Amino acid sequence: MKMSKKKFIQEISNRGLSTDMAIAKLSRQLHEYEEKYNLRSEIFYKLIVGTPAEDTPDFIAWAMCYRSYFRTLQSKFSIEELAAGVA
Amino acid sequence: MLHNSHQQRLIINRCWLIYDLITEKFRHLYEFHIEFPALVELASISCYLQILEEISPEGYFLHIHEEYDFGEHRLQLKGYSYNLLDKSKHNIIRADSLPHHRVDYKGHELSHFPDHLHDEKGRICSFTGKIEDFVKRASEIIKSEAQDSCTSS
Repeated sequence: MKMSKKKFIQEISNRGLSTDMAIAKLSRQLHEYEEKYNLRSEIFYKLIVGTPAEDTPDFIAWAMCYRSYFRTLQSKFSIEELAAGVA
Repeated sequence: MLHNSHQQRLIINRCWLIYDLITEKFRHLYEFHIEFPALVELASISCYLQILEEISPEGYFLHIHEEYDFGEHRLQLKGYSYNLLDKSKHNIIRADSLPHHRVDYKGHELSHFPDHLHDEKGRICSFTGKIEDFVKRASEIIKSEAQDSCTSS
């Protein structure tokens, strides 16, 4: 049954996904792409992204997943460094 | 994790729009209402939303990817890929914003470059970049297929 917007926001607020868990999920997805195409994500990103070869559903998603993985990883470390600086 | 709760709120609002759109347009949703909050939670941490949902009794799927960024306190769509898949998970139509096409299959400039759509025949067509327009087109394809199968039976 469709949720109201209030219920929708409550459902999201009540969850407890940590940054580490999010990184682990994205990492698992990257591994799935790597296994499927027998190619490391770093190599894929260097060779394929930005070229016409990127224009397939999997490659578009793989590129987004790769960028998101690093964005999340970076934010985790910047928070930890900040916390270390305060301590 | 986003450092700014305002940014998280913007992502959640965007996801609500998508949820509202899908649930209004398609009734054949199994676990979507239960699973979607978890997808939004991941998106609010990673700025990346992914949805793969069966949307019709004929076995069509909607596969959505959106990557978010922020500029001047506003949510920006950094990239997207909207896909309608058949029951074998083969693409029927796809819209995205990769800048590899400048003209449509008739040779006309794309109306909203770099946004474009790969139609049922794999041809490049103009596309607004709005998910609402993609969902509308997907819904029309499903309805037309359902009518065809009713007529033939």
